[in-house]
Amino acid sequence: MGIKHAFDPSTLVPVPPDPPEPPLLARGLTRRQFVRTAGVAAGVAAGSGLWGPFLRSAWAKNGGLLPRHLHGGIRPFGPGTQLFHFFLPGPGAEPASITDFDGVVGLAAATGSGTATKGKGEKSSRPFEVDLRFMKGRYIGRDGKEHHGTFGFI
Amino acid sequence: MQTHDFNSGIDNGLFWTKRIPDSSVEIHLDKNRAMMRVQTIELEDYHDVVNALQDGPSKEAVASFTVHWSGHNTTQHIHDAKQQFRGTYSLGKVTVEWKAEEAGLTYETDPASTSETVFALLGRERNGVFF
Repeated sequence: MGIKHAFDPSTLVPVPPDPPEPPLLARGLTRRQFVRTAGVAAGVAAGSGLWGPFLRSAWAKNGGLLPRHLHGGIRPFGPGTQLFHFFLPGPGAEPASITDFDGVVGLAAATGSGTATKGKGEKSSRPFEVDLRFMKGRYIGRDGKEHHGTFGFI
Repeated sequence: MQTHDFNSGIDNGLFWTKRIPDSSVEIHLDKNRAMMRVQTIELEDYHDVVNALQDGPSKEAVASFTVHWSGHNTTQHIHDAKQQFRGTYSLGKVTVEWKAEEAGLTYETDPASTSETVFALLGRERNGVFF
């Protein structure tokens, strides 16, 4: 739930947005989900004319209502490494983790302490660090349509 | 040394972001206050954040959170054409309490009043096509 402490701050330079990606059907599905969805759809509906509705239904169930990620972000492992689509908490940094969004956002970066209890009741005091956020409002989903919803960055 | 890292994973680039019930967030922008209460959300414990970002081994866990935003009196206006977002945010304080459970382990924070704010904001934002 927190990330800032784990990396050299000099590597956490914000990266500008990538060029917009084309709206491919497979966006929003993992490769495995896409293969499974497409495979089931083909088995049930091939030749029946039901491919479209079935696939659209599966698409909505699997992520059509989900929002899209930001186009910028950070590269915690250094230049040229994987881009993660969010920004660290701080003045001037975008707090939302979704794009095509219009609504209210809250960000809470906090520390504290608590108690961990292991199997046989062994207790120990442990510090914590969290970065918790919410986004509530309208957004464009992966299906290209406008929706309303609430999301937690957790 | 970090020994647990609970998060909701990355879904096709969507970073640690998960849909939650609308009723889990109450907003009173006129009073600069908000509350998020999430009950038993399914997460993964990746042990540490580096392992999490590399999508390494993880354990299934559930967690519950309560966060209160208050005292947001300093306003910040941002218009970032490069990142394509703009917003009006108020900076203030939060209190956080949460607990998590996984096989063989529970973790529960001390009362919310003992948590310390590192950075907190609350406000309206528009980005992407709504920028």
